[in-house]
Amino acid sequence: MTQVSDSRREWVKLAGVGVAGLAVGYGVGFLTAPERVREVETPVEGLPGVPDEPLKIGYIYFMTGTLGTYGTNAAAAIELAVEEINRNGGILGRTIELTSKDEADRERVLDNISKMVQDEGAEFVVGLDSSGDALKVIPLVEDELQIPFIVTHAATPKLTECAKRRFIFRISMYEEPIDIMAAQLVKELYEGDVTTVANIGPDYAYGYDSWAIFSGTLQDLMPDLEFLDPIYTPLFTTDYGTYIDQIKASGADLLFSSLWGGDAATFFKQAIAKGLFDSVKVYMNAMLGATDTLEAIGNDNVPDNVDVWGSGRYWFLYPPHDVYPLNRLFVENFRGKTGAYPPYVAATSYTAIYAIKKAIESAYVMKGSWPDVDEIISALEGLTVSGPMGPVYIRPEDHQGLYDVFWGRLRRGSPTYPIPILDELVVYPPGKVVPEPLTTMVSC
Amino acid sequence: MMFKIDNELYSLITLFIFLAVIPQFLSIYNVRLLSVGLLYGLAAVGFNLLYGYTGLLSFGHAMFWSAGAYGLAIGLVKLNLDPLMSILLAFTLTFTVAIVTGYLSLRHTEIYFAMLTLAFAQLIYALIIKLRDITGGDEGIYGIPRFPSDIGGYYYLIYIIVFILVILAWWIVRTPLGLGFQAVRDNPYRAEALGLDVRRVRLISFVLSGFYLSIAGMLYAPLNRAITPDIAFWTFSAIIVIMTIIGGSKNVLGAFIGGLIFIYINTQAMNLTEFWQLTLGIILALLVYLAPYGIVGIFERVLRYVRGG
Repeated sequence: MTQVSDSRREWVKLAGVGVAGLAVGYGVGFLTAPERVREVETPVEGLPGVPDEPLKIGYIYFMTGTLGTYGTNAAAAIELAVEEINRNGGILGRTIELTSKDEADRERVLDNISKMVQDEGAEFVVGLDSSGDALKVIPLVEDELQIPFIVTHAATPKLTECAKRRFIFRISMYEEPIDIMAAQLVKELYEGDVTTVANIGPDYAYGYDSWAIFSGTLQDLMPDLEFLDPIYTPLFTTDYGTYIDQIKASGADLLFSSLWGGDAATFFKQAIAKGLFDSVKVYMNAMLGATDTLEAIGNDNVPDNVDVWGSGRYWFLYPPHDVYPLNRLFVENFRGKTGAYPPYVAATSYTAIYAIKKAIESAYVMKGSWPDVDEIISALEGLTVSGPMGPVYIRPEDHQGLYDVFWGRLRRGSPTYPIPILDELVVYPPGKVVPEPLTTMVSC
Repeated sequence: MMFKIDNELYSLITLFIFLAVIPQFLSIYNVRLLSVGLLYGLAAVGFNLLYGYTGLLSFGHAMFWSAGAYGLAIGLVKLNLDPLMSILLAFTLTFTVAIVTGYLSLRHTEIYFAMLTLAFAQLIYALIIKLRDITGGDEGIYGIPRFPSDIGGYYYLIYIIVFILVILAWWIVRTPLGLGFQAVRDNPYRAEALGLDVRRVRLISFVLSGFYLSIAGMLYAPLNRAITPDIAFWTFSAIIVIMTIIGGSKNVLGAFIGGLIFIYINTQAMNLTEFWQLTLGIILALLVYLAPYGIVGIFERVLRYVRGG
């Protein structure tokens, strides 16, 4: 026994001397070597197993038309991420190149995605604003293109709740957790203060699902509430007068809404003008926390006689800039690029690019060469990536990105901000509001 | 009855031989694009039976394309019917839509007819959006099976059906029925005086045209394996009109080429600039001004010039 131990000690000692000798030799050699030799030490060929040609990433959003700002904001954020990554040597030395298509070309969405992948060589695709499009691409991506596809905006629960997709991921928070949290918040803050609940939402699947989830959850929490028949309005309505009168006459004191974009702003301003908030005491809008919507509302249209709550998939002041510098930098850089405060599509699309980078790097570490699609998928499953909205965890069971869900109170942003802001943020961790994987409150 | 084998048929056959061979040299994406091109071509040919040959401009032909696509998708996905029953369902749906809207809108002609068809098509669109349990509403229907499952194989299924229907259209316009279409187009009063039931001829043309669109839609749904209501929206009806005009509404060949080419013009316009709609608009405006008989009209003019010179 002792002999073995001794000999091991001897060996360790010997090895130690050897290593020290090598180190000294290397150091001396390095310092005394002529300049030419030292240059060879820095790799010029890139990392082993990393292709030389750029990595192509495609994106598709509404770039033109009424919803065109979604695409221009997302594109600006994606370019920002790509500039940052390329400036620092790309992904493992491989630079990123972008290609894009317009989701507004309605009949051609699938052709155009195929073009990016099969014709232009995109190895990843991110994007999609429309929920219908997100569901429509499933067969194409899963069975034919078979590349990682990261949805950054479309919010239908069906995308991740109805089945586990193999190639499709969604990094943006979706509608269900936001609506569930709304119901929990009502219970927490207004139990006993409100009696009658009304809804005004857009007249399509998103509006119906949002109300079903919110009212369903709230009914379980507060069975004594009275739920009125929901009101649904066509997209891009310009005059909400009759709807507002209807809500006023109904005696509702809590109004829930899933109106979004310009519609949310138009409705809100008309509701103030028509005195809706004399009777409605609490107004909750699941999509109010979008900077473009708040800009359209303006600092002059923040009423004092009602509690207005807004949510979204990212709010540019959360996580707070002083404790989470990544968000501060993102907001500053995005403003530098576009002059605007980043809306949620900007944050989610920016994060998608970094998720791709991190997944490739993780998979590369284990393999030692550029990973194939399956290895990248495995790396994306369970990945945690830091985005402007905080750390995002990609749940392996359903490919849904999870991060903090918030509701905040509407306040005047002036003098610091030119737009109204969400203040007194209430933040829930996803574990409190996101359903178990592959369970759903909507019909699949 | 004998038919003179004319230049148009020669051109069509040549084109189809080319279309049979070319996929062997194309990337999978381009085969997909060409599949859509064939279906657009079929749609334009069907539309042109009504527009070019019967003289009625419909602004609602998307309703037939979507009747076929939705009929098949509902049958296969929502009702779990076998393919044959689903096709039957799609045909029944198309026939119902065609007879009802045709009967009501053919009381008028010209712009009034165009507006009525537009209105009916938008009504169908609204129904698709509203009947969520059946149609999936704005989220559409996805997971439609395809046979053969690979694009390369499916292309040839489309190819065979399109080939048969396009040649059939060439034949129809040369039968007494097709000549009746043209008689009604050229002078409905004289056609009536000659004993033709003008409204009936128009209705037959309308229904026939609708079936062409419906079959194109039925092939389109499995190609994409998913459908959304966009295919029922009026903009798609406009595309059907536009591609027919691009190709040339004078004959079957022109319409077919218009459909085939439109998909490429659209894709190229999109690659060139983010203002793709504007580019597309300019191209269309130029074509309409400079080549009122479409692309085929240009060819004919060149051919005549060469021969004459």
